[in-house]
Amino acid sequence: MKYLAKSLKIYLPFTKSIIQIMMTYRLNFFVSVFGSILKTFVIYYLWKAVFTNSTSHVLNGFTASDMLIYIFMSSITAGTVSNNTDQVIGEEVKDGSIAMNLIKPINYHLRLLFESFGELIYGTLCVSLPLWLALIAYRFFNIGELPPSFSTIGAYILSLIFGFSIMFLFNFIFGLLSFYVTNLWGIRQLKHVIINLISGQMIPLVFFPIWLQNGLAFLPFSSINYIPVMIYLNKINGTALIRAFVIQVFWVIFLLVFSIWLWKKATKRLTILGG
Amino acid sequence: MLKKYVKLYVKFVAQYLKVLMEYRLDFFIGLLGFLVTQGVGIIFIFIIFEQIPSLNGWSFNEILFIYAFSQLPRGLDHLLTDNLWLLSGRIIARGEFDKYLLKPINPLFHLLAERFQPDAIGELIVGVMLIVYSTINIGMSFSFLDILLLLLMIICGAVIYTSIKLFFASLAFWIKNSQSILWVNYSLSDFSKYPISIYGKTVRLIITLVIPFAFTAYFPAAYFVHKEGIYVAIGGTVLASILTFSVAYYTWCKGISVYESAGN
Repeated sequence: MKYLAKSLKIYLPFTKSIIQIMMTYRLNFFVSVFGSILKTFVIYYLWKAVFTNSTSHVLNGFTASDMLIYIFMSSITAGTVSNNTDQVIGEEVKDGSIAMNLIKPINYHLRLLFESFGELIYGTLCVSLPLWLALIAYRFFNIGELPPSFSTIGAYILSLIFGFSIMFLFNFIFGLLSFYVTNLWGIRQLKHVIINLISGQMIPLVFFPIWLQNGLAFLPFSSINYIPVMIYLNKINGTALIRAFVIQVFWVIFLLVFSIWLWKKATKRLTILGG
Repeated sequence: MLKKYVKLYVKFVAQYLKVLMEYRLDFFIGLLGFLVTQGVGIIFIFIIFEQIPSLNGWSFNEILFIYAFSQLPRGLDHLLTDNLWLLSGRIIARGEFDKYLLKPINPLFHLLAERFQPDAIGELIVGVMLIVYSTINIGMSFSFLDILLLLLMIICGAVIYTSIKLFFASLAFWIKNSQSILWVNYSLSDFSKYPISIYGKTVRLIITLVIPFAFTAYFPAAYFVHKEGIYVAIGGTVLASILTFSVAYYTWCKGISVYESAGN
């Protein structure tokens, strides 16, 4: 307990400083959020047209109204779990400041984790929560729909926390690539697009061909977005819910172990120019 | 006069390609990035058409045709005018704009020629391949005149892209950094890849009359698959490109006249 309190005292300032940085550059942040909202609306309109053009009301278990919630909730979820951990590592390797950070008596994993908490807190309070409330309000005043039950929201939040952990660890591992490649920008772009697709952000994974769905079951990406949103929609419940959590926890542990191993390996081959 | 500019442009591009050869891997990663982005867009269309035979009267291949067409003006603009992003972001803010005013060439030409973005070749390749693929599947036949018209439409579309970028980038002359504003408006181009009948009224109004991205893809492409008449589609596109360029160029000139260097 004492140890925990001590670590909190050491690492919380990192969280605070990220929040301060994000507040300083809030214009850029909110503009990029606005851009994502526009892109979400394109996807929403497309799905809306698909449902008006379809002869059946239910496609792969989704009604038009399910799909609306899915598209906006998956966009909110993706925004909440996203973090810049890979970019931070990449920049520190590029300008060499990582050397100084390795000398300090601070755990690199933990420092980045607490920094990503800053992004999480700021993003949740300023974007995800207001957008979620707007969605709830829109549904209530338009069609009188009530928000999901407390237990569903609770399960969603738990799943979201696992999703965030997986995204953080994946970005950490991805950022370690910068020990091997000098320019990370293009690969990050590539990563972004691919995760967007296979985490189910634009298209619920049940719409994919079976062979692809089966393949994706062996990857962690559905745990980032698809699982939390399906829980929110109450499409995963009962024993399937337990199973979904087990899968998410498995990926958290697996990626944690892998990232520690890779971190040890990568820091051994680190060469900093000059200094 | 024109000859001088062409010669200069070739020199500028040659310089830039030298830089690029230094960072070959980055170039290929960038190219791959655009190819995959387009690939994902196509997978999306493909999955949608697993569910329905046609989207508001458009077949799979017709949708693919608009999507493909949208890549060409976008790619062409991206290839040639990428420096506008830097104008909006840092050239004015850091007072680096002085150098464009000191040369005996048109400052806009100098700015655009300075940077060449070959990543865009990814967009162009995908666009051309998909246009060929979709036209064969639709069974469209192009006369020589149609091909000329297609090229004209691609150029007009690119001019609209460039003008919209130039307009919002020029705002930096007043507000120093307009990159975020530019980015949001540029994001609206996403709406032009699909038939505009799927959107609500407000969105349609914005992308046709305010920030006319609909003329960079939807309208010209709809003409070729006989979904829009010649006056609206072709006439509208030409008119939109002339109007947007006039507004943008006027704003740019006004901007230069209020430009004050960072000074020290």
